[in-house]
Amino acid sequence: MPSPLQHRRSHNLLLLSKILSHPREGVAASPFTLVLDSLAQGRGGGRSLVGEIVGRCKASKTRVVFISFETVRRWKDVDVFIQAWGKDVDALEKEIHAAVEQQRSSRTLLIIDTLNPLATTSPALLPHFLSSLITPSVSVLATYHLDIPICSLPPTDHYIPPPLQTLKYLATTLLTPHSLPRVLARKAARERSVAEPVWGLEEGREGVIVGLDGGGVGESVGAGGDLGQGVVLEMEHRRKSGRGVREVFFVPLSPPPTPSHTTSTSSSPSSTKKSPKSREPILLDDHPLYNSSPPFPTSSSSLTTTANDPAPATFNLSLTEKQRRDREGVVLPYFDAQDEMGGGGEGGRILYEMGREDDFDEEEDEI
Amino acid sequence: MPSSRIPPLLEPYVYPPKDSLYLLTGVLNATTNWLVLRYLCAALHDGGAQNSRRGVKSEENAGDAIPEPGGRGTLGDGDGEKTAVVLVSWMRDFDFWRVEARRAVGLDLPKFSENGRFAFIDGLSCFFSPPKPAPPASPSPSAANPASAQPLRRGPIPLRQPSTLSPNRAIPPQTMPMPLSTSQADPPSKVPFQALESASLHALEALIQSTLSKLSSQKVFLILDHPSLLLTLPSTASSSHKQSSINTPLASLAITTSQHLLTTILSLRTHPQIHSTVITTPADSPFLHPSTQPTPLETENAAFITSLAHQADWLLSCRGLDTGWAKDVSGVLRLGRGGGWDGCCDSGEDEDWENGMAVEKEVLYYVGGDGGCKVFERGGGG
Repeated sequence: MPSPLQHRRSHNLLLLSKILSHPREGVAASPFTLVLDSLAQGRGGGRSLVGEIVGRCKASKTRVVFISFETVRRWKDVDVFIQAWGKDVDALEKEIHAAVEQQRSSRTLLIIDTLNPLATTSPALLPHFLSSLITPSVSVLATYHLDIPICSLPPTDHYIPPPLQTLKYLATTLLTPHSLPRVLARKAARERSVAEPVWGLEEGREGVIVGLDGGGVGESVGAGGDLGQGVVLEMEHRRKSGRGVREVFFVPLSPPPTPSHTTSTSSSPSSTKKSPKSREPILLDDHPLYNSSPPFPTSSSSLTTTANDPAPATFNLSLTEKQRRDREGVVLPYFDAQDEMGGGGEGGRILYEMGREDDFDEEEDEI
Repeated sequence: MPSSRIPPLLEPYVYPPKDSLYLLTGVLNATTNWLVLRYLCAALHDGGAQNSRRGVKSEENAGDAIPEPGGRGTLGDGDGEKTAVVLVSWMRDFDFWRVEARRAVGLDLPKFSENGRFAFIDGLSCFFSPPKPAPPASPSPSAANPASAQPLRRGPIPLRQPSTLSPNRAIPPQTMPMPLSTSQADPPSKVPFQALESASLHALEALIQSTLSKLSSQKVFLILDHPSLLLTLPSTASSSHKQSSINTPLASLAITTSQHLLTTILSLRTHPQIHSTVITTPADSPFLHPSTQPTPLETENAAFITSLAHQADWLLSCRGLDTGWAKDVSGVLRLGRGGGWDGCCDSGEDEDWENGMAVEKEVLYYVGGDGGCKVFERGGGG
């Protein structure tokens, strides 16, 4: 009898791998996948996730048509590359259909690198445009940048819902990537009950646009083994029945030629020798760094001084997960008394157990 | 104080790979001009660049001005072709860049433009300063939209006048033919630069393309200095109709939206001659964080800068010190990857790129009074 966790693990991982790899046969697990990314999500942003999906499609021989609204460089594993900027929606639709029709038989993944231009210029056409692309053999993977404000809607469009809402409604899967160091830093802050760190535009510092993961953190996470390079993926999948599945995964990315990593070889040469075995996604809860007790380097520099390096002590200040659970489970003395009174505010009650030597005088006090 | 042309810590970031976009952002008290000069220097001053980019040697003397011809190509590939630079500035005029380039990085820009390796496009002078010698400057905005063009005329003139250091203020608003000056560099009346005569994006694109055709190199490094200024200007109605891409009702309002501008930038970036692009934008809070009831201009600016950040490979953000002011630090430079950075791009010449030490980090910089700059790690200055 598998435990609920095991069931969830195997079930959701299977679902994710179907969503990511767009297998050649069978019904598409997710006809319209929407990737929500922002600059604050850091290195594991939407683009690296899309790159990973393209790689998986390549492996499963799915045809990839890339519709570029902001990408200049043609990607390596892409079969058809369509420059979409500056084109009329109708003309673009025709061009895409022509590209798809070239090989009708094979399964095709349409990748749209950003929907923001369309959402800005013609939000009313967006649902029609997207649904006209999706057919049983064609799925769409589109990215939407959350941090770009929608500007100056035409007056006719004031009565339609905001584009992001439409897209979220249309999507069968929402994927929100996060970078692992930032997720870890946020978790560390939560555990210590301090404000969670923010990055990039949210930092609110004048002139800051992108956040940094802090010196050395990327390396140390990378040195944490094969699981270092990857992206934390928040998934919301809507089944046909309407039931939603939410899960947070860790998806290791196939090692790209990351400049930061080639440079970090000098400090930790072992980290680059990645074995390809652990390329499969895991649940974030199963990730050793996420699961482990706090003493790993947190990423925000303000935290590192306080949390990362406590004064050198010969004892351990932090708690393990079990210790914390136990601590939360401890019932403090007289806790039940507070409960019985139904939420306090109604005065107190003296709890006193008479000892042998106490002299109980019935006339004086009644308890 | 050592005033090397390109500080060693900056070197991995000043040779953009092909088709890349680097976004430089600055705030009011920490401008990006010094960075732009370093990019100019990296692209034009190619003698010994191949050595210095590997960190083997960094040249310490900014004194000798003239780069030796016959150097290797830079900007990420070694096919031997020299890089040409097109600098379009909406913030500073040519005199500023000429003086600064000579002073800070020892580049003689007029000489480069004679050789067809440098072209300057003045994006501002001609719509704002009254056209003295020749009438055709800025006829179109006023003709098409006199009401909106009129108030804009006043503003920046007093700002721009005192900034020039050179006595020769004779800016020809007409398009000048490029290389044919016989004298060397000194009479700036012969300075080969062109001025943008209308705020329409179509005119911008056409002018840059015609400039590109006159350059001697097929490998052009494009620098757009503060193009977001265009978002504040009324574009001419006639030319925005020519932009086939835009058929929304917005075009009839003849306002340059961020989408139009981004589209123009993308089509420039895909021009076969353009090798890589650097764009500078302001990143002060009002430009990035629209207020609770944002005006269209605020939203457009924020959308423009954020979209560029999503497209950029790297972001180099200058800002002031968080702690205030220091005598020996001009500001903080944050080097971070933009949203367009991908490991799976199809760029063959990435080897040099990887050999560099391009990592995300934050460093301090100091720009001296002589234009020389130092870049150093936090705590490592002095």
